[in-house]
Amino acid sequence: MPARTQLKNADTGSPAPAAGAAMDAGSSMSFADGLAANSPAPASPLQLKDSGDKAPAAKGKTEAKDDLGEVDGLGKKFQKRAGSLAEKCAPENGRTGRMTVFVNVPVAAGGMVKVSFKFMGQVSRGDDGHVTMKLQVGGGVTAGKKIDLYFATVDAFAAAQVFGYVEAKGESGEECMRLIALGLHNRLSKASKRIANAVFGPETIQAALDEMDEDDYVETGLGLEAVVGGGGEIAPDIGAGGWMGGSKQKGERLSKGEGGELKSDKMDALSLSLGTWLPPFRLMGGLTLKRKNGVLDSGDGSVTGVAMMSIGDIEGRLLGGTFLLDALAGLAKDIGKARKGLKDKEALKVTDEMVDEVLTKSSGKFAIHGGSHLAIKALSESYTGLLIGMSLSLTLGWTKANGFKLTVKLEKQDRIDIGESFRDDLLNVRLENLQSIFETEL
Amino acid sequence: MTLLRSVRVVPARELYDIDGDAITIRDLRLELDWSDDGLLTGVAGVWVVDWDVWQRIDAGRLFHLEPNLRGECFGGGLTVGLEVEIEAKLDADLVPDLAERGGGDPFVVGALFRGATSESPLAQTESWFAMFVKQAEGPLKVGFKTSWAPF
Repeated sequence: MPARTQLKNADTGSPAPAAGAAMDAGSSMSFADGLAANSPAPASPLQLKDSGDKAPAAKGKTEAKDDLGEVDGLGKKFQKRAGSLAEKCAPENGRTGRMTVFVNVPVAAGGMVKVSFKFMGQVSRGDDGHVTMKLQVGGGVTAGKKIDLYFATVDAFAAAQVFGYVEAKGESGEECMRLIALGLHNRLSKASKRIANAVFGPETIQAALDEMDEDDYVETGLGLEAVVGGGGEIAPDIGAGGWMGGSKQKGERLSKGEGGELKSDKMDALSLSLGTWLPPFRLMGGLTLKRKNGVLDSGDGSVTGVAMMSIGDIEGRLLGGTFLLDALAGLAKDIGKARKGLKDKEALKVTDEMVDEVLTKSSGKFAIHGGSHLAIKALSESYTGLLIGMSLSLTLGWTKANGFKLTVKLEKQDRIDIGESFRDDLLNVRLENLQSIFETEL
Repeated sequence: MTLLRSVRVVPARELYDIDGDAITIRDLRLELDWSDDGLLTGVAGVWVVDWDVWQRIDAGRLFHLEPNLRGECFGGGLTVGLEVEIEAKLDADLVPDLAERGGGDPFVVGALFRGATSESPLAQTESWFAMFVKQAEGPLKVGFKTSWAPF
């Protein structure tokens, strides 16, 4: 069956919804609706239409439609092509576009029964380069004859209810489509493994497995079962306090088996967290234990220490020779010297610059820049200050397969508080900026 | 100048329904649309609510969540007990004033939301049109979209 692909630059903007907007017929398409109306038009080459007079696709939003026609399944080929279309919608950081993909999958070898999918929605690429897909999944089951397989397929889709809204975030469009396909497959296979395999094909599973390293897995439906906990001030006079909590979750883990096949395991997780604060210090800890099929499989324990100080506090601590930021930066240097493979090759330089910057600011010469300055100006009456701090995290992980792993992460935090008290005052603002200095594994 | 598109505003605050009753939303983030010349053209909010708050929203059809405007829900329904994430668009009529008061600065826009009083239109559930209602399911977020969504 011929495929139709069309891309056009539709400078649509994004108007806020108006009251009384009509229901989008496409969004409510159910499995029973079928997709007869979506039969593909004659083949045409990939088109990129520019609606403006200026640089093509440089402004506005790109809208892409692709009718893939008949495919073997929602496997790697489909994911690659649909992912590629998504990439065209949002080729640069900060860009947003819309995509619609139609596809038909024959369930039986003879093609008598077909499942049609329509993926319609928004694709955006964030400032970090990651792609986010927001898709409405619609579709239907059609058959040349009302044979048993038709009813079995309809039953499976009715039970799985895989049509609706799906959102995925990944490093690429293809990865997003892979996650979505895996999510659809996982749900459908619970209703009928036979139909799931017929619709998605063995290559879907293989594609997912190909992408997985030995340690990779996808956890689905890890739903919260119970949460307990609480906290409060321990010594109100000095602002000290703490909290403690726990939660239990259960779900399913898909991973690569020893023979390369897809393996499904029952998972349950128990998490405990506790923390305490004594301004300007905050200490947080957590422990998560995961059981696979009832046997302890992995554990993560972490401790994070955060110190957020005002300029005045930093000056005092500098004079007293107990400058925490300096100590942390020194630690970062030591670890950086001792270890290769820093995430940021410029980590030492960055750390040095950061220390210099803080030292400069602490001498009273700091300047609040850009938008922050205007924000503070707007609410200057209740502005309480700029806090600068560091966060050092130590995470000790254990897995049955690979043993222990220690991860050290150092982040710089800038925080602007507007208002009298962040915890007590309703009229306050907290704006935070995190900057990763380095992350390394030991 | 590249303007910020996403601004974290506040860990928790209250919004008010038409009767003046408050609901608590958490982790409010704003997604801001800007024109090429730096004018604010659209505001969307993303926040999380606890399950019991979601039940109030659902029953009260807050954020213009009328049943006939809701699409199909992936999986047939939301998972009971799990927190719910709502992504909603601010009433377009409020954007020009916000653009003027915000002066093209995302942090000022965030501050205006953070400081909005119970009488402010910004703090009314009626001023928001829910586009997506979702919950985390493994690596995905699944749920339903509404007619207020841009697609």
